[in-house]
Amino acid sequence: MKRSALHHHHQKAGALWTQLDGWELPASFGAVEQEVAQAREGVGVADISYFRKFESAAPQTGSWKLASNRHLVMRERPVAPPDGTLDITSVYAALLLAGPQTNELLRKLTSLNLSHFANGNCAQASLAHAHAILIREDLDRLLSYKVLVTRDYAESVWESILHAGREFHIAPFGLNALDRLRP
Amino acid sequence: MNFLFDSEEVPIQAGDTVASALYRSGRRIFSRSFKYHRPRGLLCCSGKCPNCLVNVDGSPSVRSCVTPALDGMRVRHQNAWPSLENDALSIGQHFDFLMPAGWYYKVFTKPATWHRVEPHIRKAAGLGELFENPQGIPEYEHAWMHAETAVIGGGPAGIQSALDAAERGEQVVLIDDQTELGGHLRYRKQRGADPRERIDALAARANVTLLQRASCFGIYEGNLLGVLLGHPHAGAAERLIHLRAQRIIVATGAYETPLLFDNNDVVGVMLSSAVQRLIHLHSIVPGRRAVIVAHGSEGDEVGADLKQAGVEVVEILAPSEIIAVRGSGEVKGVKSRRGDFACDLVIVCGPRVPDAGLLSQAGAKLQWSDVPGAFVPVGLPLNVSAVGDVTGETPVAAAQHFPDSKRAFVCICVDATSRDLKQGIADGFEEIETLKRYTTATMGPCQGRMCQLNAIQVCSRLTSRSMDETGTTTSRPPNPGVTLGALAGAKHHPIRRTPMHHAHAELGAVWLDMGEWKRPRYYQVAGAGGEAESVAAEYRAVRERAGLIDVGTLGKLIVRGKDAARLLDKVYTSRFSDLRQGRVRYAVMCDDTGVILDDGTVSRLADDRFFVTTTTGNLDFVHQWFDWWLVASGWDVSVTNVTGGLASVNLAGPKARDVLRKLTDLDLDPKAFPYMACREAQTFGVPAILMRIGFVGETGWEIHYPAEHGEEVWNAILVAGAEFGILPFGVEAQRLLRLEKRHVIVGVDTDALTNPFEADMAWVVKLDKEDFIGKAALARAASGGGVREKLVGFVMEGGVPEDGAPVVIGGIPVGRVTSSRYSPHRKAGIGLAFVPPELAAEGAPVRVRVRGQLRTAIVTMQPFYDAEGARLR
Repeated sequence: MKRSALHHHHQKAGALWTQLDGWELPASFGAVEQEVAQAREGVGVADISYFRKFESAAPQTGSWKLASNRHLVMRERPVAPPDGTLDITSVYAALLLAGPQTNELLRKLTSLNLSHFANGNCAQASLAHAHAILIREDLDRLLSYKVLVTRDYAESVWESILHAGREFHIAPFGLNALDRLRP
Repeated sequence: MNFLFDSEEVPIQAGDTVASALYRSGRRIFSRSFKYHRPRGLLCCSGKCPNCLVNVDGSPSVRSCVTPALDGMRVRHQNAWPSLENDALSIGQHFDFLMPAGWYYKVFTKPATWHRVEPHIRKAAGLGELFENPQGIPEYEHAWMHAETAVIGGGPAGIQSALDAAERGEQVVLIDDQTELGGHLRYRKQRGADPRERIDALAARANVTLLQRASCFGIYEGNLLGVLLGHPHAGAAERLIHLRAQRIIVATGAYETPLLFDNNDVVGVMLSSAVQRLIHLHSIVPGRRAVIVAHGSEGDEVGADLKQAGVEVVEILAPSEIIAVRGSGEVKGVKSRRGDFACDLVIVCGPRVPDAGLLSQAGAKLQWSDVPGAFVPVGLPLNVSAVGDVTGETPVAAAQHFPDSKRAFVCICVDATSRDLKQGIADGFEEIETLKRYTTATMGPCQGRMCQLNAIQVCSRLTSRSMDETGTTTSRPPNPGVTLGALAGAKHHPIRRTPMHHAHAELGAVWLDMGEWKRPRYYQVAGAGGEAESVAAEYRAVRERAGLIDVGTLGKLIVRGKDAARLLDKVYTSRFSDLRQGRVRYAVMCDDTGVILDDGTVSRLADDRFFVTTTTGNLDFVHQWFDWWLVASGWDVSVTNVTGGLASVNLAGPKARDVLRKLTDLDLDPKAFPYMACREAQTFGVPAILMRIGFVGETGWEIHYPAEHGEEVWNAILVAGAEFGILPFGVEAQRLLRLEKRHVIVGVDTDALTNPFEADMAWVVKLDKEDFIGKAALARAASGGGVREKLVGFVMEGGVPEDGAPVVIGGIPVGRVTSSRYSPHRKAGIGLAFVPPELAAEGAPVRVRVRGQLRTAIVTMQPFYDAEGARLR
């Protein structure tokens, strides 16, 4: 079974597990309604490390440009690596932050200027002392970011996010809540 | 609601600061002065002077006059013993003739004397001390903000500027250090209309962010403002905000400063703005009878406020008329040229100084102007502007009076008097910047706010120079001071963990920090002794049975493309274009001067696909080095860092093959999978890269597999190896095992000048290659040029030198030990050392200093263990 770098954190937080495409993932942390409400009204965070990631030198359909010769493709479900790409799913842990207070939270973790960071933008910045890729993709009209850090930093960054988010009562949410938040 | 001051309960009213609550409760003495321990009371009430510093909840030197009083706070006095009212060290002021300006430069001229007295001086003169806070160490945090316009100061000018910018549609941040906006209009009621409406208009705008109770302590390069915000939320004491603004508007206003006369520091002598704050912001009746010291009609405003509050105004004196304040602890009266007056308050209407420190940090010059009688900012940099009183727009009554006295305090922070300044100038320090350093005037906690103008004026008069010729001292950030905890921020030290981190923890790992990585140094097995026993057991497992180590911190790169081999040929000293698919080769990278930069392995997975490993610390460098040499090459190569994506282990030992056989269908026979070969195969059902390499000197495989299976495969190997007596081993055992094989660790056994010939690795340099980085320098080194020293092995009977121990000839150090350990195999000390080239000969004796004693070691150029390498193969 594939486990994300945050497996032990989820276990301690009381995750109820489910399986998807060979991954063991938190379906919820016991209170789907609360998880959804917290993300809708404040800010919530989910571990979406299972998203497939591919890197290629040339741009691909729907890819994010990281550098002139580096492009990132993200797909939620398993697909064959597009031509010329390298599967880097394992390299990055991926988090999904969602909620109206997400910017306030991120301002405590990164110096990136978020005031001009529009929906559909992608940037790289230091976040909680780790190099991170930030992609803003709102869930319908709910402010949301995907944050990618290399797997070795995942626990450190996750802990920093939860600590910085205490003032917003941040809570992790599972796949069930994620499905509910999606348009 | 109340808080505790020392052991006394102090009630709190709405809007109270710690100081206002204390004053209302009858407290007049707030602190003791730095040098003479004279009693000091409220002077400025605005966070600008040093008089009200207290310890709040364990934090020393907190300005109580701007700290909101909170229920349950624990406040303590500082710098006085046994109490504020009776301070034993106040006796010092009677011996002031022994302590003139610069006295310790004159008295403690011998280092020995200074070292004897320094601790006592520190104790007597130190400001505040740390003590354990029962509520624990407070938390601090950082945040980053961006604005089009940042306005510093929430007085009338700042409010107007913020409104104007907001109406232009700009993103505005307004920073104010008070509990409410309004600036001096909050307490100088006769100065202008109530700004309430404009404040409400500002607060209502979506494009305005108000940072209140926040002080801007510095302007840094690129319009970066340092802002300290108090109590951002219940979980944090302070938040340090890095605010980047396109435009900065400084509206910091002007602040009032003291006048010079004898005993101008006595408790009860207060600035007029301070007493207005007490009256209007805190509804406090400050005293019963007041004498006002003011120029002309300047005292009328505060006089009216005092009368309205029910304080009798006894007399208004001009600064030239007052001779001295009477009273030692608190004000008893005033002695003046117009007679003596009894009073309990002396209200001083001092010059108002433009608060231009931030502007001068930003690059503005401060220029003296007789009208208004102040140093005003000129030459503001682009995108920084000033509005309101900070520009000097309001005239200041000048014509001060400067008595020469040892009781007229210029700098109340460090008890520097006008006599001290005179003495300093007589001693030859007539420049304001040197006078400042000699007398320490302007160098106290108020950072010169209270004393800078008086010090410059005294200096200017005594040296008969103009104010501009005298100049100002320099404002440097942070001003005001910043809590060290706030600078440090949240306790988030970044940690990098390998995929098996939690498995190691369960196995009893004792951690070793390698940069940000955590690696098991060794595994502490319950009841198995300490480090030495654990390492010995791990060592034996690898040499006799099987061992497993997590090498996930190694840098890992995939190099793809039809020119991949070309790139590797260019950046490494060996040749890789002729490396066959399925083979591994050791790789050393040098710079143009031939210095070793990194080492690792290169495995050819396919014609156009290589798997490259680097040392733990150099991954990012190597990745950039590859990119650097690719930029202008036009070659078809892409380099991807896959370090975090792969779990990596080294399974080694005579039983390693038996263990691995249980987990994979791959033919592990030495003929099918020989030494220095690599394969891609399923291992425990997971796709893996297997490489037969032998860092520790036994039959072994380095196995790289997807990180999400990290613990699963690690555990599977340990289970499969249980019947053979497998043990996990840590970095310490690995270092010993590799040292017995005489394998070099780049960065430990090499330094910033070592080339491969010096490191005894001539075999990795292929000078017959067409071109590679460092070729010219290495060709020279190959013929002996530039080889300063050589890395050799040594064996020492009866002792082990420390890492770094010197190799000595004729009493002079000529080399050094880079690594050394006790070798269980040789039953002797072994190690690697740099020695002069002539000593690099098999069997040569060298002398090494071991704990002060010279001992003989014998040089060897062979591995200490399995010199033929039979066990690897």
